Amino acid sequence: MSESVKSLNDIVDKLHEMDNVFKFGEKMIPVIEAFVSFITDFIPFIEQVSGSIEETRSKIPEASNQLDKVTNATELAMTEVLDKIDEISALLGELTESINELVEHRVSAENLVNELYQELGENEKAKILVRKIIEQMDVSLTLELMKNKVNNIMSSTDQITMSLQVQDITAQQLAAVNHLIISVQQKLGGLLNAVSATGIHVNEDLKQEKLPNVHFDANASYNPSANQQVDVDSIINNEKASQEEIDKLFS
Amino acid sequence: MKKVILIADDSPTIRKFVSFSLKAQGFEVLVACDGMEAVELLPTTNVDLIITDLNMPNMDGFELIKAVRENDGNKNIPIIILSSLKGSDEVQRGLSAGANSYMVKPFDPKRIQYEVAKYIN
Repeated sequence: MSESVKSLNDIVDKLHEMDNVFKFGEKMIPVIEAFVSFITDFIPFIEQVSGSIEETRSKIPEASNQLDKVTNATELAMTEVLDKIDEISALLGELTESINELVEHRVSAENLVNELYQELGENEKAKILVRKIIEQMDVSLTLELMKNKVNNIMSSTDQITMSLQVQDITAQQLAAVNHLIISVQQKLGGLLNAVSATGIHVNEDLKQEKLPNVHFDANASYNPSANQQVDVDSIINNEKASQEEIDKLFS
Repeated sequence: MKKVILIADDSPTIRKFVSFSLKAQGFEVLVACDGMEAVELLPTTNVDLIITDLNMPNMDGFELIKAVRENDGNKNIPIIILSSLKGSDEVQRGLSAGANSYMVKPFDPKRIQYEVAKYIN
């Protein structure tokens, strides 16, 4: 008897539970309807967003190519400028050699004129003329000035060479930007893949662009002051000093 | 006979800048666009000094220095690092790998000539 009562109680409990579930279901139906309606409205929005992402993504390779073109163009221009500087330096070298030859010739000519002066003996009139020739021939100061000017030009070409290295620094910075935008394209591709997996139509061919095999220093900066090298030199000196101290300890 | 200097750098302009500075001093210059190419060039000629960048594709400067120092035929070649990396970590790592000097970009042509002269008479 008591077992039958227990079974009946169980059945009543289950019926109560079912009743609660139905009541809860009734309450949830409007929420589920709202959710379904939201998703239905949201799909075109996702499609719209994915379209926008597709468009942005498709432009990235073009932007990346443009950056590569900038790097290649500046590289080419820099090579041409360097070739010209090379030619100028060679000409300056030849000019220095010519000035040195002139100096030697002038010294030889002056020695000959001095010998002639000694041979003139008592001929004072001729001696005055020879002295005037010696004075006219004295271009040593002018030649010295010319050599200094050539050295100044050579020093300027060195400075130009140093300044032109800005191209290498900008090439590294552009490579860093390129790397970044291709990484963004890859991430967007991943996102579109995820959208495509949900069944939402994605137009684009989801081929992933590969990161270029270029190595760069993203923090490269153009600072032609000697301080950078001074800083590195001090690191090297400290390193050597500590090594010497270690060597002393073990000697 | 001209002393031979091998430059390893992936930047064509830097290769040109360094070559330009050293050829003016009468050195013969060989160029490689990464560490791998430099390693391949080494057995083909007697190199007196190497100038290397650190950031390079295929084989970077650290690996190049290691490869040179591990080869009995090349282990005594002086190596100068020329890099835009200027942190103490990179400098210490470069020296620990076996480089003799470290120079930062942009470099002064006179300074590189001075550094080379320290190792090549």
